[in-house]
Amino acid sequence: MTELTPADQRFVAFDLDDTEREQAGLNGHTLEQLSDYLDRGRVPAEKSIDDSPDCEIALRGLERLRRVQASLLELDLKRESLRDDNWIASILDNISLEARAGREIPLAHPSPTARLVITEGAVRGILREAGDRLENILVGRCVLVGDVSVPANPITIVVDATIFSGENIPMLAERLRQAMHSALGRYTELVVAAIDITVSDLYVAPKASVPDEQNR
Amino acid sequence: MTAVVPATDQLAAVVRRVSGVCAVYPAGPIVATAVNAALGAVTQRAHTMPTVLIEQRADGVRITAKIGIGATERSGDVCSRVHDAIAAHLLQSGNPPVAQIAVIVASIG
Amino acid sequence: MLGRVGEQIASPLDTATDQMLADRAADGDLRAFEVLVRRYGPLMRVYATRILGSNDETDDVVQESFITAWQQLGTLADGRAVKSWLMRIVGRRSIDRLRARRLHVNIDDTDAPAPESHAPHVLAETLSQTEALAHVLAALPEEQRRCWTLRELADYSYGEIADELNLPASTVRGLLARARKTLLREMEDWR
Repeated sequence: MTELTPADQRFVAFDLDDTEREQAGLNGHTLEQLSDYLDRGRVPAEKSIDDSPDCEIALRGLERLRRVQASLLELDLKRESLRDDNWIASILDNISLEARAGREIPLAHPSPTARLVITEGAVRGILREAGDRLENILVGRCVLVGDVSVPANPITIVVDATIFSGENIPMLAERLRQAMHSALGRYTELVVAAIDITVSDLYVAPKASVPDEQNR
Repeated sequence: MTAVVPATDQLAAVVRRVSGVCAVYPAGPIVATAVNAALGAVTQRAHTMPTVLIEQRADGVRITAKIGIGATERSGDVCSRVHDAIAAHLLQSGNPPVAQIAVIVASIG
Repeated sequence: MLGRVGEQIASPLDTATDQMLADRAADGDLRAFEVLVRRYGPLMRVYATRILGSNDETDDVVQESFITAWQQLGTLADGRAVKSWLMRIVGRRSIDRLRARRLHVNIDDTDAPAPESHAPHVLAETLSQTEALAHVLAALPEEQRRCWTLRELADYSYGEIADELNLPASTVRGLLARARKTLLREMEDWR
């Protein structure tokens, strides 16, 4: 398949088909093993690899491949990031709040044929909104615990929030609780026994967003 | 069919005119399943869905409107106004027997 | 109707953690979902394009993937894993596309190795190594490229690749080994 040029002979492991030749050229190892060795950060150290000049050449080649691959990915990502936003608009236009609407929460009306409701999704939306209006706090998951479909049935609200580091946690949590109570009063007829707020994380001051390194 | 039932477009216009309503969304479970089935050919679907759902049943007409309301409104008040506007419109347009008028607040602000 | 691309005002959400965004999106927050789309959409597009071998269907595949993600976000137990979860969805959809495509094409055609590519030898002089690698990757036989992409862009294990592609693990191992050697050899040639 491959014509062996003198350069190739220097590194016979490039032979695509012959494992024996590959091992012979790599002090008994295969490229796959060397690649796994790199994946492990070259620990625990393997003398038969570390002491072999042939392996060293191959390892350098593998590392170079990784570097070039990483810069190719970076280039591709940059190219994608420079596209206009049409593809994002098209995604958002095609998703439906329906999928995240949740349960229906009744609102009273005197007529027997009336069925007035607010969706759980909309209620979670106003709870988040109440938090987003406050500074230095971000509201995460909001869970309505209890049977919300029964009018006047007391329920509990469980909220995860993230607070700017350095802020007074109890004070901000209390402010959030009040904001949520007042929003719930305006938009729902829910009887809220308690709003439990868990500050799960300390939020670090925003920096320029680096998409790929966001994931911890 | 004796009772005259208004068209979904007319009802949607009625709902839209109610103070405090800032959006009317496609309503109804039939629509939702059609959407899931059509995943893969997902474009344009918002424009082809009926907005206010009108179902003719044995016990009368069932109307379902799904709305978004402004952030400064009380949702109970807006819902009542929408309900009453639909009821009034039905009364004017042939007064069909009404089984249910459902108003769903799907978003706020 | 429901979604409009928000104006680009800096928002605390832009720098929120994946978990926060996934939690909020699962609760129905479109803005949080949009941040996720912006954060991982480009990587998903690169990934889909590599698996598919061209960008003709990238738009569709990525759009479908995000719609699926929106619908199934409630099933994601740990929001911190949202990136790999999204990659999995788009990977699967891309592979489905390939399978569907193959129904219309002679199987022998798609599985045959790409003609031994001499293009990189020529291109190496004019293009950067990075560009040259892109060409070599594109010229890899389809199955090799797919395995390589799952491994390198989505961090799949050998076993996971085997499951995803419905191939014996030993075959996956062989395909990856061949891809690695081809890439190394081509790179050695550019020096």
